[in-house]
Amino acid sequence: MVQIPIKLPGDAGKPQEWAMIELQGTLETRHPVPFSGRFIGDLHFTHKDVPVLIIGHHILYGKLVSLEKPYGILVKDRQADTAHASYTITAIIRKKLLFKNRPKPIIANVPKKL
Amino acid sequence: MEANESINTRSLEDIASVLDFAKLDRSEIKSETQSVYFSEHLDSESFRLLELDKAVLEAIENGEKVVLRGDKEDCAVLCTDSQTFEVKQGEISNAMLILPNIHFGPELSTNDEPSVRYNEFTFNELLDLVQGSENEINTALHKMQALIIDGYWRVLDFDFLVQVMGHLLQLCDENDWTHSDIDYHKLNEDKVCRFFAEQILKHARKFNLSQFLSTWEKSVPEGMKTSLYQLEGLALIDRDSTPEVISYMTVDTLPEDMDERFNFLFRMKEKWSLADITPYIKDLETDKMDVTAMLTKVARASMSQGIKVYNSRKPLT
Repeated sequence: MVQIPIKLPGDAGKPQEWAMIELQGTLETRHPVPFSGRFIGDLHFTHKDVPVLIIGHHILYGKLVSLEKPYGILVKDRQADTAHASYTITAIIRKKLLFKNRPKPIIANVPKKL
Repeated sequence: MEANESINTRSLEDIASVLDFAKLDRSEIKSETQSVYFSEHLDSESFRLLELDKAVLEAIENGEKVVLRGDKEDCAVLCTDSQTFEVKQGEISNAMLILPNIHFGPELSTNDEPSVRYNEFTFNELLDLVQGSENEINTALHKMQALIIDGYWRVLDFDFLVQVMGHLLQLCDENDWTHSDIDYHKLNEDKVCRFFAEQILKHARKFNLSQFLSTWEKSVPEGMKTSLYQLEGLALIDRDSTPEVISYMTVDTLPEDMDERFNFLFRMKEKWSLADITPYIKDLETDKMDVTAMLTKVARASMSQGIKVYNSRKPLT
């Protein structure tokens, strides 16, 4: 039977806590370019702590959600021997910013017709 | 999404103009903005997200053994010391962005100045990117004169340093600290002189040595004395050319591989004295091989004008 242990990183104690932004749909660029290093958007919070994300021509209002079942981020340990595969939990995600509403398009100012 | 924006390039003005465009008033939001970027080393395939049931999470945190088990024809299960869970693979159509250091609304500062926080490299992320031990990375960061600003390692822009140095010297001058007898109030003469030399050399590739020396001497604060030893590892002096020249060369721009390093150095200059070459190879020293041992391996020693000099043992490539 295949047995794959899931471990915490070393003796570092508690795993780090990371966060997540969840968006309805997918992120696309206008031109097919690699995403690496690219700017996504600005994240603001209102005074009532509502997250506001501005991506390109879209503004999104979301909410902070505590996950009932947190996510563990599993990274496969580098090992030559596949028979002894193992995973390390590098971080745990307990909270996410969920943007499930339809993004509102930002409409640039156009001169009104009289 | 603009094609040419990358980490660090967003200014408060950029953010303000987007807010303006989105008709979102500054007064409606907290002063701190977090700009989100894709990682430079984006690799979604290298990790998996595992939804952790409360019992599983507790088991992991308590250091229990948690193991995925299954044969080819089985469904995979996850076992803690005392329980078994079925593992299902899920597909989610939503985009999930994982952020190592984001701050949620309640954690944000409430100061009034607009500010921006980038999702950048912290030390832990450096550990992921650099193949070195913590101590080695720390030493390298120290050597680079990197410093931590708001939890992120940064290197100050040279022109900014020039500005700061200008203010600092002016302040010292106004308070007459330059000639202070108190040790901890004294500027480090060697470091200040070296800094001024770097300022002169950085923009010129090669410099007539005697011209450089007089310019340098005049550039440093009154009372400070320039000396060639202050330029160790910063500049290379060629005494064989006429007139003698000095050029800007720092060790961090040289190849890391030992063979390539020596090849590069010997192409630069055929014969090196021990004192001249040491700052450019010192960082390659290991427990087993110090500077002299390295030179014995790759170079041949000879005497030139009463000084021991080294040239390459093998033909240069």
